Amino acid sequence: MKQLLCPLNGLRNISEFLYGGEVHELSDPRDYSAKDWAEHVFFDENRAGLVLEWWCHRPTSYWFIAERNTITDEVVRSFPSSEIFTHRIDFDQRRDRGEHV
Amino acid sequence: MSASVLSVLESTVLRKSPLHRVHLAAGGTMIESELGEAVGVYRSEITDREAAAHLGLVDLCLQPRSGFKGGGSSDYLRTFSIDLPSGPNRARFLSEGVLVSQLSFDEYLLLETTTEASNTARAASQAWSMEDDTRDCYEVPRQDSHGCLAVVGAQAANTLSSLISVDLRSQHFENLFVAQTLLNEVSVIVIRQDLGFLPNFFLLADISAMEYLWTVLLDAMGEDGGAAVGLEAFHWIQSGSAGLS
Repeated sequence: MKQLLCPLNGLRNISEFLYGGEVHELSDPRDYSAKDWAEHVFFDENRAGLVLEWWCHRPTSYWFIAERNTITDEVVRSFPSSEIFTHRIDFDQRRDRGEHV
Repeated sequence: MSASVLSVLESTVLRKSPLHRVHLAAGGTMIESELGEAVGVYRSEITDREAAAHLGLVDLCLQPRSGFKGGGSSDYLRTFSIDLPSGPNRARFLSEGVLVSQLSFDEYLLLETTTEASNTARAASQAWSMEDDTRDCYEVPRQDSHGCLAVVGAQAANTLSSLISVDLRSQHFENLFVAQTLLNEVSVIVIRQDLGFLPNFFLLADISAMEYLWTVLLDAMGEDGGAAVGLEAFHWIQSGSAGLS
């Protein structure tokens, strides 16, 4: 059986995990038309090569990110999502500060 | 239901394990304690003790337990002088009989493992308030959401390892290690706390899956000569009277 390294629980059988899709940049739905938002939510890039993916360790409901080569199916590394998402994103506050969202 | 009726119920109704009917059907002899009504002896005192030393399954659903999570949970527990484990998936055994397990970077589970009441663990639960939202610490009540079993005995690590994807033998899974995994597709928290030289694993899982897990475990343990045992035998092992400590 394939195994995946969970940053919290260590190496476990792949049957303990759920695939959560590609990692996308968080975007504000108010900036999209309905069609563009649907594509943002449901469409994947499906790139050949190294991609970042969400995975969940089911027994702990722990979501993390794995970097996987979609050509060789090799997981290069897995890490907590806090490495990328370092703080809570509040779209209203960013908009209030005049930042581009 | 009015508060007065609730208080009457709390004072007069004994708590029962979700496995109560299973135990009665299997001929378990019930005993009453301040925690509720539980199986004291399954077959006979001697038979239960022999089974517990080899491979025994114990219903500990009545044992008090609670949890805390959030970025401030470690600071909150330290204010009650609770020694915390070294990191995620590790446990620490406190002198009061409380097993403190760290389930993630900021989540803890407190399980009272003996018949002695832990004032520390209960104080932490009683002091927590929903109104105080400044400390980033949230109580995770475990008493009614999770059931608790123990697999104890010389054969426990081998038998349990055959059911989950984690090798629980002592060379790979040391005392006070924690594994969160699947057992027949049911999420379980496995905490190792050896009793003397005897391997002992606490299993916590969704309370609605208790009867299923009990059946699965007994079925697997039966192949290795294991059996259900009562609390008397478990406490006998805990006290070190088995001569194995």
